Amino acid sequence: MKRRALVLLLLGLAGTGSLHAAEMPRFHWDRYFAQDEVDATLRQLHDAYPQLTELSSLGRTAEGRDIWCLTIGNSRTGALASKPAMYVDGAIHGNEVQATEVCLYTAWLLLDRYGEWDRLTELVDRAVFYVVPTVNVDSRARFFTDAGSYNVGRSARVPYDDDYDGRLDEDAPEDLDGDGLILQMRIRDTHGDHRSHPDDPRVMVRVKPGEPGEWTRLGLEGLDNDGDGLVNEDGPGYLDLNRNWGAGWQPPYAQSGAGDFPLSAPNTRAIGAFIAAHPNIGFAFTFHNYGGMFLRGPSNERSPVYPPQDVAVWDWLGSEGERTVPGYRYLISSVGLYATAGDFDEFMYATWGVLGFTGELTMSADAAYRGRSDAPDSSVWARRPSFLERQQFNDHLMAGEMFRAWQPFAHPQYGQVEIGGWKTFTTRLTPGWMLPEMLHRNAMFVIWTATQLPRVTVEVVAVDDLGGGLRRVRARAVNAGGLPTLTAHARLREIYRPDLFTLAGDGVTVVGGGLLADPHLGVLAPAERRPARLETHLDGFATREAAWIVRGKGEVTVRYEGVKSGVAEARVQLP
Amino acid sequence: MRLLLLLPWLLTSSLADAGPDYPDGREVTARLMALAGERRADLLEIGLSAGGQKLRVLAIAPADGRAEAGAVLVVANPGGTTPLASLAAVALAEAVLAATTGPAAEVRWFILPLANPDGFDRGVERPRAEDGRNVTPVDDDHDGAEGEDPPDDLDADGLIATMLLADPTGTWLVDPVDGIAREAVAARGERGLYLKAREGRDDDGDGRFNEDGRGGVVLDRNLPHRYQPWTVDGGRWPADQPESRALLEFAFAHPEIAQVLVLGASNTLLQVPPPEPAPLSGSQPVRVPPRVAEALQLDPAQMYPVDDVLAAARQANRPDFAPERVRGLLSLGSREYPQVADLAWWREASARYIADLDANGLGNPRLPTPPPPPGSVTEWAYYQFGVVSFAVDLWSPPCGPVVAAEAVAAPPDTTGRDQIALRDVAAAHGGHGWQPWREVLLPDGRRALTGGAAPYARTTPPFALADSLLAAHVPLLLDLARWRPVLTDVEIHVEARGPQVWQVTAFPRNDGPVPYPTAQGVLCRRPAPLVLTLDGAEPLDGTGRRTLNQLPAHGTSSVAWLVRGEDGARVTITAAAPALGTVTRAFVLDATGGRP
Repeated sequence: MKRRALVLLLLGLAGTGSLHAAEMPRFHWDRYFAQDEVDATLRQLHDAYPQLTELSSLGRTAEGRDIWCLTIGNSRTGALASKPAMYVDGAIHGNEVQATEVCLYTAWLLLDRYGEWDRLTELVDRAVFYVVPTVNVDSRARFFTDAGSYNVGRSARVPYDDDYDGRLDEDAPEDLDGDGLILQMRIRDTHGDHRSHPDDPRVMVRVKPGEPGEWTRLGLEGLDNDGDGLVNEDGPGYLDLNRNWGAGWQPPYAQSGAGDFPLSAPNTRAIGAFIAAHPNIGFAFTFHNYGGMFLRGPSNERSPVYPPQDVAVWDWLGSEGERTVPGYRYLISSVGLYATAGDFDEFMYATWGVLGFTGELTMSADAAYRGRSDAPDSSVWARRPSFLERQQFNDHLMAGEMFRAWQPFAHPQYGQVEIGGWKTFTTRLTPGWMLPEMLHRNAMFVIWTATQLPRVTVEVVAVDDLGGGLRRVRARAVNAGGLPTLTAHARLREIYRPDLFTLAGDGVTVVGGGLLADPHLGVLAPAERRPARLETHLDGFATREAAWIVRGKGEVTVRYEGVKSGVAEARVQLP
Repeated sequence: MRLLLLLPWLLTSSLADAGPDYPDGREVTARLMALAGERRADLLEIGLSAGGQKLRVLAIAPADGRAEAGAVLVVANPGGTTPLASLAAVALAEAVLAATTGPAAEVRWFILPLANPDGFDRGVERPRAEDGRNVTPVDDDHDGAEGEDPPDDLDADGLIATMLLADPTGTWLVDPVDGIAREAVAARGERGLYLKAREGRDDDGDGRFNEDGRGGVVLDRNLPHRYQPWTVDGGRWPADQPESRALLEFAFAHPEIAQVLVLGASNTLLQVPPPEPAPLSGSQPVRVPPRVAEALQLDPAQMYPVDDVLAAARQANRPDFAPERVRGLLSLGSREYPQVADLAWWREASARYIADLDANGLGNPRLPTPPPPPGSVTEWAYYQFGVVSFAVDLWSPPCGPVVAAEAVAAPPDTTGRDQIALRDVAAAHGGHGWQPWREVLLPDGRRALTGGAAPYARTTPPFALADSLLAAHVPLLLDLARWRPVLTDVEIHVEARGPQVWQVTAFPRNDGPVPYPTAQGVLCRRPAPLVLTLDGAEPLDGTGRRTLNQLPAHGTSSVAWLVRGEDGARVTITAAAPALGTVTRAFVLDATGGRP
């Protein structure tokens, strides 16, 4: 701590004020943050580090809440917009709340350890983080204030006629028994397809053929509000913000929840405009729950071809993610999970040429009550613990607080039913005491990936006198980061200007030049036009050499400038 | 005749070589705003273009004073390069206000003459280059600079025409007989002499000519259906432009819209799109995505006939799960061909329109219109908004029947076929629209020819023809309003089912030639459904409010209630949908079958 104070003091003396303006509050990462606490935390982080952060509202939601973005970076070491950037967001589905905590924890870790952990300090000085902790602010806010369920609140609060009856959102689930929860309903039925588990009456199992039934499941707690014979068929929304992005978007009849048109929701519109205005974004994480996965595209069979150079980078990063967060799997979403259209991953890659991961937080397998003899399963869907095992986890590790026992209820339409089931902060949500490790591992995967953003340096490696007033200046650009300055897809689709490798000097005329096709042989691929301005890119951990034939003398500047890698320069004096 | 009022535009400006010019956007707007003072008209501002121009819709209420009516949305010149379409929209508005009977008088109209005002304005700028893009900055050649290499008027004639640049690698020549530019045919011993480009210099020295002008995006490339990413003029993503968002938000806020009429370069009544070549059949084996299979209790490793997947979906979800929604379940994406059922009214509308063209002297052979581009307004309106959608043009260069047939069979013109037609049009109008080839020297000393067809010559007639074209076309445009569903009545049947119990059946009747919704509308679940509400008796089999999946063209569907009510009780049934209006029928419960 003394060392951090010294660094911060020195930085403060060097500039116009301290980077650390207020004492960082002590946060407790073993609980969930209601939305007003999220907003307060962002303000506290900004207040504590006003010179390392910018807090801005990207826009307002359908219900008028701010969509906050916390920008983290050190503007004293260069303009933020010119630095390589990591974008991180969470909770685009409002019920996937712990995604917000991962974003907050990442921001907190970067700031709290600034000046203390060298690599994080260097990273904050060199790169930028754009952190949008909550995309679906309305539904996440209501997750904490309204009666709910872990499965309620995915949609944005944009009214939609789910059942095509000419009315909007007229039949939502309800908390019938007033316990603050929307649980499951079941009705006793000897012809039903479920019965109680003989070892645990809280658990229902499907009856075998010929076996008498005991229960029929009725779905979420609620009424048939509109008298159409269906219960809870038209709740708030449905606009799935993660089907509303602009790459490969499909209309609602082909992709449920797509919205009227791409980026039709205020949330996606605001964030889309932000991304468009920040071409320095070089990687994107978007956190969801659940399943324990790091997903990438292609999102469906109509996705663009993913060039193998980009896939190779993804594979490398994904394998690192699997080790950083044990149990999580790196998967192609359309292959390992399901096909989607209009999702964020593909928007970032197809539209903006940016690699990224969808982080699906919380594994069912976390709710483990297993002995050594329980062999691990191999498939994503098969590794869910059984309901019986989950109840044992509930009993042994949560004192039974995760499940509301079945209780009789006189339903005004069904008659006598029972209401019970898993409570809101269960199932898709990690128990609080398990949160800190999950947050730290995922945050560190984000941070480690950010260390792989392009890190370009330039050096002049030789100046040869060719006689007759001509010289050949040879320079090398090196990318020490693992991510390319431009992805292969971005180059193929010409999404950005190529990187520029240039030479200029007041007293110098460039008469020829080009990239070195073979740096070892010194073979030049001459540029037919504009040789002072060579268009190129750098793969991860790669070098690029160029040579220019120049006439004149004085100082020349060799410069490598990339949309996503910033500017690197070297100067040399020509006598 | 209001159309004659267009004549002053003839005098507004002129170019020595290009002839009398079209009016600019201010004049079109002034004409539109003048109509806003009419009794039934209201001017709506639905948004701003990228250049900050107001997007103005003239709303015209039905002539018969009814409060509720289906609406026709007219979107003119979304491509930005058909100024006659904008004039036609204004002329149509004038004609609608004058109409007191017929289909045009029965509907509400929303008319947007300048859907792409920035693009429209480019057509009246000097030098004139054919360009319908708005003013959103775009780095066309992705070199980090915007607008650094625009076309240049090398011969100072006020037009950006074609440039033939002398080059040893050239493949083009000027035909010695026809005087048009065409590709050399090596098999005939011809040798190319020129590279072909738009008129201009290589301003930025990158070896390319005019590759980065003023940027911009075209509204008619920017809508979500069949959107093409990574194009120069289509935008970053579908509907990322202010014009697109304004149009879509307006449309979705007006569920009364039953038809969209796009006036521009394409004509989907002359060239009706074909049906799907290989439609998804019920017996076709398909693989079900794993998560869907899990939900439907199917095996993801197995192939199932489509009908079996549909049956499983109905069992797992809802019994009325629509067959076409299987596409979504199987991740097959959106449709790209019209539904066969919709082609029935579409082809009928086409036949009538073509007959009317002939009757109005507009049926002579001419060069075919281009199909709607990817991301077009007209395709969005049918495929995603689910309503009747026609694209109509007003002119293309006349030609002989053989040339017209050839042009349909082989649309890309490398032989100069289209140019000959354009040259002939020009010849008939004092040479306007065709520039003779003239030699120019570029700054680097290279020699080039400039000339050929003037900008806009392929889509826009000489202005001298505008009034007569509008006079002939506008009645046809008015008549297109008939292609919509028309709710005229609800027939009631009452059948006694015992003491105080009755079977009440309502038969809403559609006297229009189009079902409600269209088959594509059923898939899209748009517009809002027809709702039938029964009041005055107690329903015994559900609620008094029912919806109808589809009301057939020139036909009816039935909705039945089992109700309890006193003999002689007065009951009403109301059928209503925003795009159809409302019909209410009152009757009494008795054995006579539902007398009023």
